[in-house]
Amino acid sequence: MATQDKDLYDILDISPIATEADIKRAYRALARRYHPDSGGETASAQHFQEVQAAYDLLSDPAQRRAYDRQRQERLTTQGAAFSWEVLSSQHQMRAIPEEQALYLLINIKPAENADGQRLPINLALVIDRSTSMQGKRLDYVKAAAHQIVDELQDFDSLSVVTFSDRADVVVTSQKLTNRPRIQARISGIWAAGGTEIFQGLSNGLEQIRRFHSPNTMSHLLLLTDGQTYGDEDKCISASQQAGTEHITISTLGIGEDWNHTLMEEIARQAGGSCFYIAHPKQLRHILEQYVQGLYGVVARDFQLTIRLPEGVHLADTFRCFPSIDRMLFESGEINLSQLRSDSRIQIMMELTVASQPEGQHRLAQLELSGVLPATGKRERLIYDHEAEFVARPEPASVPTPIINAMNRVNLFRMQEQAWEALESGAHSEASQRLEAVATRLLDMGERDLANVALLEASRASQGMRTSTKAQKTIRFGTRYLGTK
Amino acid sequence: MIECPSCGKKHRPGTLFCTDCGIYLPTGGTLRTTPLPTDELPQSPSAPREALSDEASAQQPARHAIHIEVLDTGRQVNLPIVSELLLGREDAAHGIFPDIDMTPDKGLERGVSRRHAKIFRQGTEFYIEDVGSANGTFLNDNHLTPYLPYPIKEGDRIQVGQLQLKISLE
Repeated sequence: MATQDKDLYDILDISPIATEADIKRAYRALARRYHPDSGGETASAQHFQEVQAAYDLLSDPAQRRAYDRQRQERLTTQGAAFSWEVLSSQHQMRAIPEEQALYLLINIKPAENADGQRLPINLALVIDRSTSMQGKRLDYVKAAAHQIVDELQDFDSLSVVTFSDRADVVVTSQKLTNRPRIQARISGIWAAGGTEIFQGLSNGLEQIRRFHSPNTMSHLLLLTDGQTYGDEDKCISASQQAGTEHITISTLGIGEDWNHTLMEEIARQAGGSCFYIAHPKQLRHILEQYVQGLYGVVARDFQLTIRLPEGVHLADTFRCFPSIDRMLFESGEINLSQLRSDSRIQIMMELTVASQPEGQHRLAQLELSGVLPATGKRERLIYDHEAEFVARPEPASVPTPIINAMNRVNLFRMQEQAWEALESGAHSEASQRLEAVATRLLDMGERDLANVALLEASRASQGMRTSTKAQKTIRFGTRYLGTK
Repeated sequence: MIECPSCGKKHRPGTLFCTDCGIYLPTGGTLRTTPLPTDELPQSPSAPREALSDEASAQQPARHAIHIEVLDTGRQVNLPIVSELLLGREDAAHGIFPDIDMTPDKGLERGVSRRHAKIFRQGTEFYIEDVGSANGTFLNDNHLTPYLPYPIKEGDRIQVGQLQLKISLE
């Protein structure tokens, strides 16, 4: 029977934590659509039977519990391609009339022996060629692009778009069959004009779409050293659109004068990362690593979904590894892009939990899913987080990985708050916050970063403007703490 | 609501780190922020104070030095406890110079972090605190929660990474 291998919740198109009322509502809507007697075009006896069978089982609490248990076992911790472990800051919660904080740390790994596939890479390089790029910067960018052309295989595809006040397609999207020609075109890039990012971004996306298919790793890399004016919103919505098409966008900011808020947002919307290139010399290495990071794909369209019952809210979500980054969490889904055979991903969720009566409660359901390149099938893992609410919880210590990860996340947030205070003109608050950041950095043995923070604290207290270099050093430096 | 013992900011129960000052809230950092009573300060070499401390030591032996034996290599370290001692591995490039440097005992291969643990005195008690090391610190085979101080006493065994240490206090 078809219902055997289909998920009952999928059949009714409801969440696995749907209430009884939700189930009934979904059933009625589907019954109207599929019932053979409904007379509509959508009537289907077979479909209706499926819906009916799913409803019969899920509407009976006892049967539903049994089904949930089975389903959980089927979808537990270890899939063919990836596995995970979810740690929580406390197993027992205090039954108090107050809202409480709860942390979930999700460690995601490729399964042992998981085969990483070298899928065709579909790359678009979108390069800022504004006047400020002239000289060394552009030379290093060209050298890095040449390197990528050598690194890619014949079945990969590449396009190169430059932008200043307008965009030019330097290399139209093509397979890597004529490397010398592509490299010659790259060598011919010259610098002049301003910085209009949207032009470059939209042209780059147009190019990358030509060879984009489910089984290609489509990544757009946006390199800039400056600010764009007036087209920020267009950039973000273009990126959002790319994200829904499973095109990843990563951004690389060279030097100190680029807008990190915008570059981070563009990357976040499309499942990518934002890199700070303090010196253009680092570019070649970072790009090379980035491209090699697309080899060995264990799962693509990789995403994490969280479903929360009433009374539980997601306060904040961070990726903690490979680097610290606030995650976009619209409609409860995080776009993790892909999982590689030689990497791991760590996500921290900070939840607030409203007061609950004593007893066992389900506080969250997490679902991790990705498409296995070899079969094209989506694999999922599901985890229910339950906690017991008791008057007096047994004393238990918080798992060490949670403390270490949260320590770094908290420091990242502290420096964010400092910059926010500075931006709003609250100089003495900013100074205090930066001092606290410096203290924590010293505690962690990061003397160089701590000194930068202290210096900025004293500048802020004197009402001086912060140095953009220091801001980027601290912002990007705190991201990689403890991950080297 | 719970209150940060360091800066007074209020947080939901269960919160791990103060968002303002960064202190780890479950241990409250109280042990670290209480000012030391003046008579517990490290001794100055002046005579009257020494006389005082001799009297005090009649009731309770005051201990000012720590003696650490690395059981794996037999190396012995003798140190006065002034304020706090950092145990770890030297990394000059990052400006990390631990008071107790485990480099000679193959600290790197044995999984000792550059900043591994702190040993300090509070009143007459001595404490050890793991400072977020990668491989953890064990006190008499019990795994220590990072950033939480644990009292240590004469004869305790400490494990950092894979290295075993024996503590004596003088």
